[in-house]
Amino acid sequence: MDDLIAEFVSEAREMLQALECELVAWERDPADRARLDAIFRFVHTVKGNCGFFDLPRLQALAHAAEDALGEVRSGARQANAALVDAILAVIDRIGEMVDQIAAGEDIAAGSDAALVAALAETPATEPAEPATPVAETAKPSRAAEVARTVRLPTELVDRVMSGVSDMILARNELERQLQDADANIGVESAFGRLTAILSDLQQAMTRARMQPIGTLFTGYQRLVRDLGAELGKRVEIEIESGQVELDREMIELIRDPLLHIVRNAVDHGIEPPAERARAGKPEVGLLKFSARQTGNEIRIAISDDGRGIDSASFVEKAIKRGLITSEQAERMSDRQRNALICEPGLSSARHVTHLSGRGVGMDVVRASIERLGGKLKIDSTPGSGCRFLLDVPLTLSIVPSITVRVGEQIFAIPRSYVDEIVRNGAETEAEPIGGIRHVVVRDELRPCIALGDVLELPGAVSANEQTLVMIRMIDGSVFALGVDGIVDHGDLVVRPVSPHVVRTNLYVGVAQLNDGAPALMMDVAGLAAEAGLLVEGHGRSALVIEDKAETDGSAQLAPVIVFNGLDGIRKAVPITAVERLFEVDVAEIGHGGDAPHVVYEGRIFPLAGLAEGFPGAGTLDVLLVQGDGAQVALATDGRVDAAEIDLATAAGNLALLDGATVELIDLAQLGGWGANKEPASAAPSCRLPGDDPWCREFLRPLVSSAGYRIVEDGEAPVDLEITFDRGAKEVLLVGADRNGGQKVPQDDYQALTAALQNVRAGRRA
Amino acid sequence: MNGELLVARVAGERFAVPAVRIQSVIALDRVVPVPRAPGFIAGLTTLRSRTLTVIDVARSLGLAQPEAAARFALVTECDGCGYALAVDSVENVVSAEGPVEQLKLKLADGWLRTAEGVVPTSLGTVLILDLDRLIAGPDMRDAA
Repeated sequence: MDDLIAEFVSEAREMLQALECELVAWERDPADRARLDAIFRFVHTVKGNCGFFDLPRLQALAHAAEDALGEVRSGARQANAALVDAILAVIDRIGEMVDQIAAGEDIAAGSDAALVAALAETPATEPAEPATPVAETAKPSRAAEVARTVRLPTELVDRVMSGVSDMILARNELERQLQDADANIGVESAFGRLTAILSDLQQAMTRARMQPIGTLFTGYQRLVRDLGAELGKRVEIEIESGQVELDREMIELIRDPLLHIVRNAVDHGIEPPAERARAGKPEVGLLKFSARQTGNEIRIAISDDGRGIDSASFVEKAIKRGLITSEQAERMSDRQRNALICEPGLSSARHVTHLSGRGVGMDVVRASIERLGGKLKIDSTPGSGCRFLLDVPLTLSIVPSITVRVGEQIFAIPRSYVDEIVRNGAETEAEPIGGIRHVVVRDELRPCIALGDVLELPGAVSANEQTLVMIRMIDGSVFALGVDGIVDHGDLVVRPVSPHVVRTNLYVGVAQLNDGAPALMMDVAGLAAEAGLLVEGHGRSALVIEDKAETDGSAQLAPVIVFNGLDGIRKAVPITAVERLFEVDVAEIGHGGDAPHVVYEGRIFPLAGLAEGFPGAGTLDVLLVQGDGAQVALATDGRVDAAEIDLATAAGNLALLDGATVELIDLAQLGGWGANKEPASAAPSCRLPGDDPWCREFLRPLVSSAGYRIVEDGEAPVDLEITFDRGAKEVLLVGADRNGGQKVPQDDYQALTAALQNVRAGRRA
Repeated sequence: MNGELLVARVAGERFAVPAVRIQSVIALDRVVPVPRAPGFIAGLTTLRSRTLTVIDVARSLGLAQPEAAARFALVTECDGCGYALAVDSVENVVSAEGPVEQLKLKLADGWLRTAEGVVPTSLGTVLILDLDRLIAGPDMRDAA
């Protein structure tokens, strides 16, 4: 009997969940016969089961609802808001009772008279029109097609999963043994089969822990409806790609943060109908959920078409509270401004409602998303809506990692933190600052800590022979982590580790390497704090510097150096064209000849971008840029950053960066300054496709700085013909001998430069 | 205390723990150290796909222990985490032959902190240790 009750409870719960959607849809369109049928089926099933289990109270309730719905179905009565509310109340009560039954409580006590009375009341407004045609043309009720499923306790699934992991480790051990012993062919083929089966099994088990994210989204339907009703707003929900699957555990963890975002959207985002009408928007607000998978991440977007975020008021408050300076505020991107709503105590709600203003702020939301390795980004267009983007890992436990060696021990670092790996020799030593070693990598001064020093482990190599792992922290700061060597990279299954180990603040968990040995997963933030790199605000990732642009399929991202000219205009120049950044004394700027110039390392460079009235003293940060065949120094006001811009957004000489325009420096025009030009005839010629923005803006300076003379489109024979395959993201270089040529990936600048030099060297030979 | 007791030796001394808490006894081979962890944490080891934190019982008890004497470990669980308690040797599983008696002896600090009492067994009177306190290790103030 207990088993049957359990079955009844879980069936009822499943139906209740499936019903959420139907109820809301039915309310919108009470004439929708298919929805009505679904709801009717539910109460009918409950009623039937109750008789079987002797649950008279539940049965009576379900019976009353069935009667009312039956009248609607037969056309004797029409569904109206009052009836919908009454039905919803009944279904809620059924849900409560099911929970009580599940908890083993007695449900006999209590009365549902009020609910039943509400069902019976037929407001006078209905003279019950005769059956509408809708009822007659209604489709025969479709039996819900449900895939055959079984319910399993999560612990059982976990146990089977860890069994599979054990088998894989045993397999690896066996493999090592087989390599040592000379196994015969029969054994090897059997082993191969075992390997294939195991990997299938592992995949299937991983899937067993997955759940479609749609189940999470549909759970919010009812909430949105109730919230809307309470606030006098009308909100419709749209769910896109709810089939994307996510680890069950992860779904549980994002449930509350998402809930809060949804509440916020309905409460603060979507305007009351009258206000929407005034703004020329449909009175019914739209809340859209979507999810899609990219690699190991799931991106969840929740967007509304409400009034958007008043980021200006946040910025104002943040300045007032001293969180940021007005200078910083000026430099902030839109996303950074929007992110201010996640700062504790900056809530913009003019009035705090009991729904969203209950002390759980967006700061908590962001913190919980970050805790599980996710990211939160906020886009907003004032007046037309706002979008919350959550990037969360597919599972909690599988972390893309890099393993490194210190002495004889191996440690893992989450790959999400690793910016790049710099081999020994690519850095130059700088003076220590405050006792912390610093190195210069790619012209940037970075603090450098040796993992071995922090862990008090003797390393096998000396400090200047270490491989440097460049770690980018959440706040955008970068430091170099010196290790003896890189071992491997790949996905590691990370498990929690005992509190003794966690208390060191150096490790977050432990993973097993292929040979079964445990490897500690480093807590990168803790490591930085331990090394003294985070003096203030460790963990307070207040202003997340988003320097990686969105990588949508359509985006054509190109790395640039962004700087402010002395005229205050933000400009961008392709990173490939920038030779270096140096500082000049303003007093040393030469004004002889026909243009201002600077001297650097014994050479004269024309200086562009001097604005009127710039200070006559002090120093000036100057970018040395390779124009077409000429090098030019560009004056900046010192705010120089690396960024990525999407060339697809470029219009004329303007492009978008974080929602603001930047001016793209025209390199061909810079060449017009005419200094340091190689004699044109001596340089080899190269033809580039002129119709592609990437080629024009990025490849061209690269080719030009490699010493080529750029030839516009045409037919004349050239020393090097370059074509670009946008689809394959490959560049094809064909030399004068027209011999096959060389293919290089678009984003591999090093390989491109090398190829360009090779072709040139080949011509000389 | 009723039920079975597992009797083991560490730094030459005999002690017992409730056998019901011990999942298995393993031979310790590969222990990966955890840099910067408290001294009584010998490191990590794996038992199939489980990672266990190895507790150096001798050091948890504050005993001087010759290097690398522990060759066996008692596998147990505490608050959802797996531990391997490294001991010199495992003697036997015996039944308690009487009630646990409060200690009337003056023990060294480490023993005093973890001891639950003494109980007569077929191997003679043994000292019962509390597993959770053994795992918790010396007080942080002592460690500092």
